[in-house]
Amino acid sequence: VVHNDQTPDAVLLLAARQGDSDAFDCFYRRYNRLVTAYCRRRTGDAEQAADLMAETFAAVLIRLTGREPLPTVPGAWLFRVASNKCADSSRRGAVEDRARRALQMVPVVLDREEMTLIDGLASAERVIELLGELPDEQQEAVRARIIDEREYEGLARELGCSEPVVRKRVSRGLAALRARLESDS
Amino acid sequence: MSDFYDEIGGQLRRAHQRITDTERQTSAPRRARRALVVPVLAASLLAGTAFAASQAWSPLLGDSQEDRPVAASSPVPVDQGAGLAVLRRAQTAADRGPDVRAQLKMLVGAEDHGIRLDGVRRLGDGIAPGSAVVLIPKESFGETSSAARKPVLRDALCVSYPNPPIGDGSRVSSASSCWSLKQIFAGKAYGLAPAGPSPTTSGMSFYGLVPDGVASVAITRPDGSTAKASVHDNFVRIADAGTPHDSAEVTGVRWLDSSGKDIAPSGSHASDR
Repeated sequence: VVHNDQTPDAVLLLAARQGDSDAFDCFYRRYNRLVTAYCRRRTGDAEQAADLMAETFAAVLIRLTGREPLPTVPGAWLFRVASNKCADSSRRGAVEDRARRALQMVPVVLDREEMTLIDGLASAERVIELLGELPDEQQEAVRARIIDEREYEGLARELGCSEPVVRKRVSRGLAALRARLESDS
Repeated sequence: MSDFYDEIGGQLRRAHQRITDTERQTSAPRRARRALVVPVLAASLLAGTAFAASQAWSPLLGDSQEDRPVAASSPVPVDQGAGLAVLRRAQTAADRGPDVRAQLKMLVGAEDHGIRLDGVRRLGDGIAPGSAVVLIPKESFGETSSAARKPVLRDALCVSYPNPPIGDGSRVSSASSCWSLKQIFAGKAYGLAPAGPSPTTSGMSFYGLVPDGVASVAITRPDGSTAKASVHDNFVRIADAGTPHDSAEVTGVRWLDSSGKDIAPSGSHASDR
């Protein structure tokens, strides 16, 4: 099976659970820059952001091979994992490496050029600028769910729509953000 | 220069391949062992007799020597029995059959605590040949370690839902979805699973638990089309819920009684998530 930009996230995760490494790679490439940008914004440090991105995807891979049902909105789920990793690292004063150790992954050392790239890619101003380019409904949903980490249930009540509608807005908003960040880099 | 994205991606790919290879190697004996017990129990399956609640049953829980769950010291709570007819009916031979026992062997001690064997019920066939969807009540569900991400769910009602066969069929696995009774009454006990071996072509199944009185469940897909299925043993499954892409956007889940009238989920329970 060949996966491309049009393959839905959920299909990629299902295929990855079934042992398709290309599918997981496609999911990784789809979101790695956006997750790095998000972690850079949360931590303010390019090296930590790269570590957190690797740890996030390692944790996702471990979860994928487990028994839990797959998420209905994979993008939002991914950012929830990233958010937890960022919060952990802030509490501990160091980036956790439990998932990477479990997968026998080794640390990656960034060169100066790469650090500059991450800093530029993920400056808060740029993320906010990109967020501002989204349609109002998507912007509101992404900001509330991803940045403010609100629950879908409360958001649906507040926005006067159903949870699936909020999920759809988040999903589409993330896809649009991802495309914009990719064109940046 | 190979940038760090490629380097991390390469490590993830190799890790994924290692996991996949390991699962292939370790699951083959399990599959073979399960195949052997089918003929032995076929006679009792055909008999279809109900077991008395007090009849001892000690199936193997988990299959890891180090991480086995234990049976519960408490029975299924009274309120769960009152709300779900499936827990009031007698346990049958099918409820203790080999396909059910296969699901019990997939439990893990780290997150499945106090398995309430008196409440184990076979809900339907799984996608993989010889597999079953099973209701497994537990005293609690969730990791109890300090690193756990989610709170432990007490008095969990879990549906063990086998995944489609993978590759040559030697790899077996299942997803476990757990809810509280209040979540079931609030209409929040739903899950999605691949409807067949290829999620791209076979789409997704919608499944869940509903309380007594709900005779059928109808869903509305994003394109406005609807699908409906009858409830059996408080369990519903709609095989054609949509593609993986749009199944997340299933809207308008409706509960219907036996005369086709809408039933509203219990709003008073909605806050218990």
